[in-house]
Amino acid sequence: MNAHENLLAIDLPAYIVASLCGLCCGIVGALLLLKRQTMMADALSHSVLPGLALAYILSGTMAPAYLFAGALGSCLAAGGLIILIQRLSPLSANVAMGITLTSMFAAGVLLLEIFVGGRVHLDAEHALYGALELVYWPDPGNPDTMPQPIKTLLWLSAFLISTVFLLQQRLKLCLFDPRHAALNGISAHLIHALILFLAVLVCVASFDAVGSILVLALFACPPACARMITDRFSTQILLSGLIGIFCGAGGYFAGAVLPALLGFATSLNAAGSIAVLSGICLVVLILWAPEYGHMGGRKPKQKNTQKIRQ
Amino acid sequence: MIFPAVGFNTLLVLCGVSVLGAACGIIGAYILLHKKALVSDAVSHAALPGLAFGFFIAYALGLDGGRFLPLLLAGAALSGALASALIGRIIAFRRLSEDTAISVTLSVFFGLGIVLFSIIQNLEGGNRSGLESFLLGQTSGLVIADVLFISLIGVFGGGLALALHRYFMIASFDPDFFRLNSSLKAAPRILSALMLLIVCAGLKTTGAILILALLIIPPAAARLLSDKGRIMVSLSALIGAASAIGGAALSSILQNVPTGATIVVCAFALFLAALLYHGLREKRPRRSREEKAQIA
Repeated sequence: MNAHENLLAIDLPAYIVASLCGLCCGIVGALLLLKRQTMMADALSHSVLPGLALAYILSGTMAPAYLFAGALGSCLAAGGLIILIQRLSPLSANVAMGITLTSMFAAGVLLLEIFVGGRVHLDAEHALYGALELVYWPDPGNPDTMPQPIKTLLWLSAFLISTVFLLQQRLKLCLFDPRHAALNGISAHLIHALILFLAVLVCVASFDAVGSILVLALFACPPACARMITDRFSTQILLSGLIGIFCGAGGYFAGAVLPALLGFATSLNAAGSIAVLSGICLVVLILWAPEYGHMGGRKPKQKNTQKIRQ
Repeated sequence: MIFPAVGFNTLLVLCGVSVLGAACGIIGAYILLHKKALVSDAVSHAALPGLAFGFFIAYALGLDGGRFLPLLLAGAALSGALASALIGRIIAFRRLSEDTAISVTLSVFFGLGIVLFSIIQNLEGGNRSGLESFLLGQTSGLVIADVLFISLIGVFGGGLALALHRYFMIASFDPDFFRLNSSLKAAPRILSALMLLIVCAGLKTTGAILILALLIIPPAAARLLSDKGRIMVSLSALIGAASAIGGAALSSILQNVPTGATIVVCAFALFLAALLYHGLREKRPRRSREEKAQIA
């Protein structure tokens, strides 16, 4: 295999994984943003760790199915704990999340250090940074050798897009007017639980590839970018998915490929540069978004007042 | 030596960590009442790029191959302050909500930190060993100078917070009255500064990620135990110190276990106990209130 093919085998799957993560996180993040629960993504992404550790300790293998089940279990447990703390005490949702995420993360670190102790490639740093660069596709284009993260993310994004598309009206109703939804016989609790469940699924699927902090970046930034541009529900979701893809692929390019093209010997951490790129996007939009931007946002309002004066 | 079974180093660690836990408990209690608990999440994550910048400057000046603690902590404090200012600005634009602002700032700053760390790892001659400990914490490497430093900051921060108790309480419970009448308008800003200070002091002990636990969990537990301000703050300090001591002792017994994680697990156990107590206690007054209503 010559050098060019080798690069393709490493770079192409990483691009695919990064943009699929961006897509999934962007779509679910938009729902969370409208529900004002973006920090939930933070709590969930930190809570994955003890589940991964337990799955490895109990099964003794790094088989993706076990890890996925463990991560899913601990995410659901975290969600339950957050709700439980809120029900049983006067503490606010934010505090409940803060307690849960730190305790779960600490439990994960403890489990890993006591029982695993660096024997396998599963440690707290991996959990934070992710391993986007390690996704390897021996011969790109051949579906038989397609790496597991890509398969998972492909299925997940298909499921996610179809769910959101089919339930679009109900989601909109439940997010903006839960009482009206209840009058029409739609359970807002069920829809909210569904959103959380989707968030858990996306969190777990993207976690292995991009790490917990980056999951938060992709959950939070693209939807916030979309929010700066539009007021429409469907546009918000669509835009946030597209911006997610752009941030994922562009961030990988900026981190892993660009330094080499510019002649530097070493590359940057891809996960981190995706987060930084999405932050830059958001700053640009906060300042210069067409209608709501801080610097450029005055024009339509001035037009309106001029119209009224005339 | 006082306790022959406990080594001098363990004793040293216990001292430093308990002061830190108590100070975090005090400051965290005011932060909790001020409804700013998650801002401390963002600030502690946002310390990372500052650490890295501090490392670069120290490296360029040739101090300790980059691991020059004062510069590292100064950088961490600066970027933490920047992050909390940024969160304030984003909320002030009124387009994005508070939790979005916090999570965006947190993740982007942390991402930047990771990128800078990946540059540091490839620096030639950089003394980067131990820089990772700022993430997860490592108390076994504490020396007397570190403990003194932590204790000084802890005593100063906790003491100042206690001295300003009245202002913090008014600012959290009646912000409008505070804005009109208070003689110390800067109290909320002083609280943010104290939070920053204690986060930086705790970086080396519990790590950037888990210092947040000490700022949130003990105050939350104390909040469940008491409705009175002064009692809550002192309980929170006690719980903070207790979980810090318990965690540090546990990690020295188990060996090779990160102290930050054991401290957090201890704090969480105490929180669960408080939750249980709260659940049991809550039923009685509720019943009596109903009875009173019936009598009336």
